[in-house]
Amino acid sequence: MDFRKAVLCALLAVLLSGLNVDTSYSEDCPLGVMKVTYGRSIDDLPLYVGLEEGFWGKEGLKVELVRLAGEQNIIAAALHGDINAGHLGPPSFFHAVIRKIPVKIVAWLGRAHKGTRCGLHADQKSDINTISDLKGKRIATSGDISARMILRETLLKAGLTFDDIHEIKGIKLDEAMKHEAALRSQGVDVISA
Amino acid sequence: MLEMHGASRLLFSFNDAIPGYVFAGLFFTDKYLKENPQKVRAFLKGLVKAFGYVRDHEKEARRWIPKYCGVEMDVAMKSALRHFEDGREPIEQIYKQQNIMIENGHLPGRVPVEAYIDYSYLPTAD
Repeated sequence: MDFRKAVLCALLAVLLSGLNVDTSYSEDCPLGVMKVTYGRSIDDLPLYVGLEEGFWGKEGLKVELVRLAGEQNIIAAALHGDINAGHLGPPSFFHAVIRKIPVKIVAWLGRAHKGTRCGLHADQKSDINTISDLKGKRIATSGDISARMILRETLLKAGLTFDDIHEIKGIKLDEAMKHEAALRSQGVDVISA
Repeated sequence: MLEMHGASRLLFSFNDAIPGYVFAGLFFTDKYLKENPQKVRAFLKGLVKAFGYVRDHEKEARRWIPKYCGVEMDVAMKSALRHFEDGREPIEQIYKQQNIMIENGHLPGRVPVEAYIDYSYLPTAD
């Protein structure tokens, strides 16, 4: 390919990219590429399985996982075309509906069940044994809406409210080692994770 | 993970608080759905196969966790997983969670969501 042809090809690629035309076709993946967000979390296991077991390859699709945090960022990236599919928790979904954001949930990504181990964790040696024992205790949560909903429902089971506890907001759910340190140092009494 | 390290014991699980709590949904923009229906169907077909694989071959599925999550294999083998079915959830469950948000002051009132959930791209249930 001479220099002029190479420049023409490059210009054409830029033009097609600007027109949002999918240039990712190949014989291996005739449907092209799809960019999907993930959170580096165990909860995204079906995405890892889909990739590694070749379930999308068999459908003629190449899936690329894109690490992106923050649901507002994920919606913005989708609307801008930087990603094609993303995660949305129900609270953010409801707010997206209120704002009439043009998106659709096409599948739900799992639910809690009897074996779920996410929840309120107390130190092994703590004297906190029941929900009633949470009165006056320091409870660390991420502070997001889902975490507050779950904490509220938990407290209600024992007739308690947020006024009965000291809620410490802002823990990150993917920092398990810090959670462990916080419990062991008695910096907090309970962690919601 | 905290429990596995011997650091904690579970007092009350998310499922105890809100049984069947739906954690997240997968969304596309309306524009993308309109322009790429075949791609979306192919993606969801693979995703539902992955749900089934996690259910039916849990041990084998867990092998992939360390590569993507940066945790040790022993943690990957023991951590609790969500329950994955076919991507659909009862609308009553979605509204139950919405009602809790309303009671909690996080939503001003009922928000009809049916027009924003579209299962038509999912493979037909067996």
